[in-house]
Amino acid sequence: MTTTEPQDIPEADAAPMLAEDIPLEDMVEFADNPEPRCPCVLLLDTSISMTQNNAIGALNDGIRTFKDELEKDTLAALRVEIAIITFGDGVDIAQDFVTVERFDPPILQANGPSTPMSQGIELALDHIESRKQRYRDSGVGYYRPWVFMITDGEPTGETWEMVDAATERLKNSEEEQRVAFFTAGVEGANMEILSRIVPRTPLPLKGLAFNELFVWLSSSMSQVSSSRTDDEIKLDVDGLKGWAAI
Amino acid sequence: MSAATPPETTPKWRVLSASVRGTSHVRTGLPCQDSVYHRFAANGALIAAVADGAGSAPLSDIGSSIAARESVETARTSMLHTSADISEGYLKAILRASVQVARSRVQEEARTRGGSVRDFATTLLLVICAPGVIGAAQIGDGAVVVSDESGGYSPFTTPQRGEYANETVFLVSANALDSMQLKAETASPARVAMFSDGLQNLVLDLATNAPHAPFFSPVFQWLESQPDPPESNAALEGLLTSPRVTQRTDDDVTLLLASASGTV
Repeated sequence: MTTTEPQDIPEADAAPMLAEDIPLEDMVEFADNPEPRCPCVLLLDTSISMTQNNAIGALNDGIRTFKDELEKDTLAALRVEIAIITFGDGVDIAQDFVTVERFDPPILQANGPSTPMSQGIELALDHIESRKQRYRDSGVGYYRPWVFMITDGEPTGETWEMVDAATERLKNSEEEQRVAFFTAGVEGANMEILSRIVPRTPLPLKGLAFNELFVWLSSSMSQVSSSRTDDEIKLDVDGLKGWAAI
Repeated sequence: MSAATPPETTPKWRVLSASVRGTSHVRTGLPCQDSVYHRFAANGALIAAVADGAGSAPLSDIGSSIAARESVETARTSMLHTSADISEGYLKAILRASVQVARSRVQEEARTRGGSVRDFATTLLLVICAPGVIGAAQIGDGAVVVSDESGGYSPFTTPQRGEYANETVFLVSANALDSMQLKAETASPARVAMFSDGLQNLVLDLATNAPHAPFFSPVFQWLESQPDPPESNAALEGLLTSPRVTQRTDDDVTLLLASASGTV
């Protein structure tokens, strides 16, 4: 395009524009499909022990970082949907699935008398399946959902039968690729018990490196939401070392 | 016209294609892993391929290049002595054999280099437009769109996906040949488009796979206004690298357009 053209030529005097003067991208219209969604559930321990060293405060800051980091990636911001499920004072959907833009991180309180972890796992898996159904009903594509569990303990206040049932269901869900389930153990977490419950090796958090964890989780979600594969998830191991004691 | 002009029933195709690197590939230093290739058979048939190498596979640019070239060249060789008149069944046999050869060539390349065949993961779309008959074979996502007689567009093949939006099948996948779309029809569409998955969200209604006519009509009209053969694909590359595209996809994008309109 030339820059010397006067801008105020009356229409009648203007020479008809030749097709080759118009960039091809200005001639076309694009289809307006809904973006495929990339659901991510934060499954968080809000038992009272999470107040030690103000772990819950660091966790709340980390969730804020998660939002800020996701917002930096335009595609991820359109595609990632976040939900928060807590286990402590019973189990609770503290945040239903929202896109990053509409995500206003709740300030979580750690005042739960117990750690009903298996009920938390069951609720997370239920909630994901009903979300998938919603996507299918409305013709929206979706990626394999992620659950990221953070705990500083082990299941309490529930029977071993309940824990076994959740363990079995989680194992099947991973094998059938219905979900990718990751676990981080805050100091005090019973890593041995955790590794019996979750199929993927639980990772011990370095100190209270929640910020590093959520930066990593955000970049992992960015990768997932623009990836294409016929097989396994690849993790950013270098980034993982920023928060996990491995 | 000279005596070398093909028989009147053979449409002469005006073809233009572009394959551009996605912004995520620029950011992470990956090459463009898409490939596009076309030739004409002795009987004037257009043979064209689009292949989309998987971002997670380190040598998929080589995989896609081998897949596109070898499938087209194999089809061309098998049509050397084919008359203008091809049946749908024969066309399907050529398509299937050409995809199988392309798959073997990719496997050979992996053996030669001592790598895993998965490192060469790529999709493959192969189209043959012979006089009076059109056929396509497709493994993975992307699609082939054709014009119909009423001036509209319809999907000739559709994106092949799993439950998840980022799941697809590759030429080297174990189930590739079983899940291949293979199709031939007695038809002579005047316009044919092929594209990789980077573009499919922008040009198809994904709920129905219906082609988005406000995209296809202007690009074909533009193609038909170009000199024949087209002098450059710069404008097409400009389209595929324009912000309107890159804001919606960060993947490599490939588009091949073929028009027999007004050139028969």
